[in-house]
Amino acid sequence: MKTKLLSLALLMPSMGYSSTLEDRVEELEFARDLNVVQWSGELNTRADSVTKETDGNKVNFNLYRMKFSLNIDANLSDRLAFHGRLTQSKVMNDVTGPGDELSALSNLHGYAGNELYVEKAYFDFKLTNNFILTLGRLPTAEGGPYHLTIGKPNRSSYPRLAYAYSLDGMALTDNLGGLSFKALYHPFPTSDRSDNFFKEKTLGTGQTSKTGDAHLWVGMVDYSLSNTFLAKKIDLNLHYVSAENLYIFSQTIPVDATTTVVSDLYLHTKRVSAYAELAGVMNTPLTVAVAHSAGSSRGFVSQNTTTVTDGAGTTVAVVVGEKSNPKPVYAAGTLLTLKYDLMISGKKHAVGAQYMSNNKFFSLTDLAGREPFNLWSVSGTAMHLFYNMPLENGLVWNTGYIEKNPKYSNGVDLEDAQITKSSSFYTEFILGF
Amino acid sequence: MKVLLVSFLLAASSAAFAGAKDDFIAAAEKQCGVSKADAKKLATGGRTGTVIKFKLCLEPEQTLSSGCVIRCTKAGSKIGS
Repeated sequence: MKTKLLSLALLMPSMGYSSTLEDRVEELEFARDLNVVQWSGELNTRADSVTKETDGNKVNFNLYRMKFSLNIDANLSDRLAFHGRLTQSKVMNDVTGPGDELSALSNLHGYAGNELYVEKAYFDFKLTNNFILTLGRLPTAEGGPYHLTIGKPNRSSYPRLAYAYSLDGMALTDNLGGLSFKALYHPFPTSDRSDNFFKEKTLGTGQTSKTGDAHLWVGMVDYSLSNTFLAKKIDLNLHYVSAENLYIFSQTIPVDATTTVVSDLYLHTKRVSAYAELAGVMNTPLTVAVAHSAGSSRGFVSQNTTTVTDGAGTTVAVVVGEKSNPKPVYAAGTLLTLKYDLMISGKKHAVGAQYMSNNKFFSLTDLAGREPFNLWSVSGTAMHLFYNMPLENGLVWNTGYIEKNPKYSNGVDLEDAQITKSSSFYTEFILGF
Repeated sequence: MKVLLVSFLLAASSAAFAGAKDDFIAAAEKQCGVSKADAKKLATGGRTGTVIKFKLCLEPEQTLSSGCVIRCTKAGSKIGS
């Protein structure tokens, strides 16, 4: 009896944890199949020592920030995959608060507090071997050449100069080997939350309503080549965006050199951006990336109350029911990035430099600029020197220097006394896992 | 018989999930210009092996034992991939 009991006791655990090799392999497969979601993430901690100088007055301050992202990837079948990314970006221990409004677009990387935002949430569905339908909140932020400066893989389909925030929408991709064509649509409905999201919104008593939805259309061509005579890897991206009736709340719009109008704005814009990245140029450790973005915009001031101010910010007139139809302005920006890999103790370090030059209207069509002290939001020129040091698989230490020399503000030339030059020595750790 | 069964299970598993190793082999063939057999030899196991490094893509590229540099694409970074 005792022997029988002992045998039964020994059998019990083996029934729970299948004893045969086949069963154990099967259990492993079940366990794997149950784990549909794969988690990964990134933590970026950064410190800047910033100097700002206006008309001989110099100010120094330190800036500490962090950005934490959780990635969610689920390969649901050979044809269907989901990708998501939740991100928190903040200034460390910020107890004073941002004190400004947050919109659906600018929440991402708004450095506004402890909130966690959905940076990406989309699925790719293979309609055929070539055609892929994509729906959701798309990977459109932090595009090339940003990844080159931080020693990480590219993380966006849109070049950084073309667009900088997360965009909701849909895409149809035609993949033909290294060549792919994409057509994307990002709807911008003008909705009124107080009226069941009815698209016509009354702006105020006695003021006319704005009607119609805004549309943002994108056409994109990607081309990748490996092991060419020119470079080990070449990535080319051509990006065209057309926006109509893009509603932007309360913008400062220049009238002339000394006068501005504050008004809601309907933006009509067309923009072409090209990005070329050549890694391992002529079989050397050199990477060259060139980005250029150019386009025209026309801002239609809404039929709302507009406030006209002079250069000192003093209100000189209030106009009701005024509608303007200004001439288009032409924006252009170019960013050159050079990066050189150095093998030190078996790890690939890198040094690099960037130079950016924008014309006076570039910032008017660039919706970036919430990130504290960044290279991108200058209206003039900027330069960046950087160094990447990999410490461990997934952990990289970056340090660098950024200098910004603005020349314009809202499309108007700045006088010397109005120019605020700024620079930053920064250091950051980025951990990917 | 046991070996046959295990082999069958493993084969079925890799067929149902053309997974990490297959992706690595395909990329090695394309980027390093090697045959499938040679690409298989470049695939190593473990957390810090070439396959997992390629799949996790924590760093933009890795140098394989053959000297070839292979680049990866981070999941969720490219529309329609």
